[in-house]
Amino acid sequence: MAAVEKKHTRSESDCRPAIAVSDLNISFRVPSEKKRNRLSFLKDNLLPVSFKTSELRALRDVSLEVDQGECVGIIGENGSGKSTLLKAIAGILIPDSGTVVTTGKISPFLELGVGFQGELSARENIFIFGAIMGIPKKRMAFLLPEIISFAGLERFADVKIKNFSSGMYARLSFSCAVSVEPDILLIDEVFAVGDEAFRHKCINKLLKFKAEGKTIVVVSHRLGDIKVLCDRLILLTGGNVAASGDPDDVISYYLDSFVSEDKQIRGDTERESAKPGKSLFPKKGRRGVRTKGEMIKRVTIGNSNLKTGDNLVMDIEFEADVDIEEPYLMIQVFREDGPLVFATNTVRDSFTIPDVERQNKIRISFPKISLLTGDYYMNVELWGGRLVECLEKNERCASFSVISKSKDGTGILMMEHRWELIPRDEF
Amino acid sequence: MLTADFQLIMFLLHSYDLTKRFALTTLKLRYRNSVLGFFWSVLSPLFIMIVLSVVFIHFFPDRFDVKVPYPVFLIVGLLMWRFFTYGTTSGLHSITNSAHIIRKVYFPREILPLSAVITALVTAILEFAVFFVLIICSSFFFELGEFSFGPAAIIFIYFLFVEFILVLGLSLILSSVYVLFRDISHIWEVVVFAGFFATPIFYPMSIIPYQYERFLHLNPLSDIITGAREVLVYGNVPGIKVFIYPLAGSLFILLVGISAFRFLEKRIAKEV
Repeated sequence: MAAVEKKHTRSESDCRPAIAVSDLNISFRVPSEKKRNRLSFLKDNLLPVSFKTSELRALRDVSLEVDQGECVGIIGENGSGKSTLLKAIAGILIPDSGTVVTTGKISPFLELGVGFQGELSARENIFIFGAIMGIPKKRMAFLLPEIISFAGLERFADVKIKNFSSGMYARLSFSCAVSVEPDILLIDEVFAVGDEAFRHKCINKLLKFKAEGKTIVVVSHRLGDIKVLCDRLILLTGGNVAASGDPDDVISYYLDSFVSEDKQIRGDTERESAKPGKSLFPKKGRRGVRTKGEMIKRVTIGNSNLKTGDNLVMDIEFEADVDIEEPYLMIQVFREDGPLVFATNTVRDSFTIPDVERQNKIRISFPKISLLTGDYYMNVELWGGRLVECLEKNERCASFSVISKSKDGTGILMMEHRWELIPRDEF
Repeated sequence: MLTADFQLIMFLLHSYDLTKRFALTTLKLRYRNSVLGFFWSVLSPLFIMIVLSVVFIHFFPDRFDVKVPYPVFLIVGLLMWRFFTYGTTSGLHSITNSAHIIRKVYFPREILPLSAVITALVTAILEFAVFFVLIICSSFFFELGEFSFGPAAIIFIYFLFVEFILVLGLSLILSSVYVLFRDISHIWEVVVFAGFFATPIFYPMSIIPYQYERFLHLNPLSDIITGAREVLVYGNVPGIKVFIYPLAGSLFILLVGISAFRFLEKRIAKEV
């Protein structure tokens, strides 16, 4: 029997995990394309015994524990069950089987500005938000000035929020969200929206929460952010926990899984979707794209252990069995933890590839790279044809690492710079 | 079952703040952007009563022998009926209208139909207040027959409370079923339309032949309206049956409502 227990007792809570999930199963009914009559619809929906339904099992026997004060990230492809897991922990979804036991007050940030009413003023909306989050009215009245000043909306406290700019709306909803003083924070991509400054503010706030010993569970596709923030990562694949552990290990496991998947896709696309444990959502745009080694024969890198300021040289050998109209090459340089560092193509650089039918070897060289310490990999794609489409995609075909000296600075790349003192009379 | 209900009550107590907030928001939003604002909650029942009085005095001479001016008789029943229809229809949509919140935060879902019904109750109380003022004013100018406004009127609160239980029970059923089976809103429209004629609103209970009367008792609303009219219009304390029957019926519906809601709750968040 399914059960969601909520323990709010603080006294005995010190040793138990903040979140304990065991054998959690949640499935959704997927709207069927089949035409059904009204009666069978009634039957399916109102009777406890469902007859014919296509089910999507979003979570399969998921078990995990999150200790108090731990910061855990959940990663995985779209449709792998991340949000469902978070909703189950928040108590929004009731499990079909299995248990979720949480200790402490939970604040789910599955969306900013939950329950906001455009027709009401900022002040009234703050009270609505407080009521939804279960904060007593008195406490909310105490927090009100703080929330408004943190959002920088002193002059607009009594303005209807439908008249707010989107930036004001975002600031208000964010400062509401962080004003809740939870023990457990659940965050679902909320902070991925907004501009860089806003995101930066969010991450700092989360780091502050972390320092205060709050338990944080965060779902994100931004591997870079999640690596900075989390002590541990959990990888979900098709509703299963595929990996759990040190962020670096899980991220590289996750990224490697794409490469092996690409190999599989080449052979048989149908088998993939039928396999258990695979996401039911088909991948877009992969059909017809050839991978690895059909046309692009070999990608070699001159020296894969570089220092900042070294020259990077890459040779791409390719050969096609048919003539391709206006072929061009595209390369992308990624850092291992996610960000795209650089991408370009031969069209952009006005470089013409003469004849694909014969064997070609093209060299691209980057003199004096300004990249700083990190591991990098490259994707090479061959585009062309009448429809100008991606003909072959060769992901992670080359990798290199860069070591920089401390005088080069830190970050992604060394930026050309100089310091100078401006004479006083030029102020 | 008992412990489950106890938990529910605790839940609702904890969520008193949220319930109040939701109800207040609905009331606030209703008359936003209108010039007269909150006055409309007084003005609209006033105009409705004036129109009804004019229409019924002219087209329906006193054929039911209700012993008081017919508009007075009618308006009490009609206001009770408005509470019923407004409460159940807003209750029906209460969950789907707040789908965006349900999908994002956990709170006891019962709060949504509850606050919708409370909003309807507040509206009903306002309408009755207007009615009282109106009837007291008109008693100076018109002959009101056997109308007597006495201490028995305090019992009216009891009937309003019983109706509140009934409307809440129905709203719990309707709102949770509506998530999974949208046709219920159309079905309910028809039921409400038929209910208007099957309930003694514009006719007195006494015109029903004796052998059919017990069927009318199956409808808790007929006793509620008869009782409310008895205490408000005639100043009589009605028989014990008029107290017991509707209460039993309403409590039964509330229990069904709570069970239905609990049974369907699991699927509400998934499918709303």
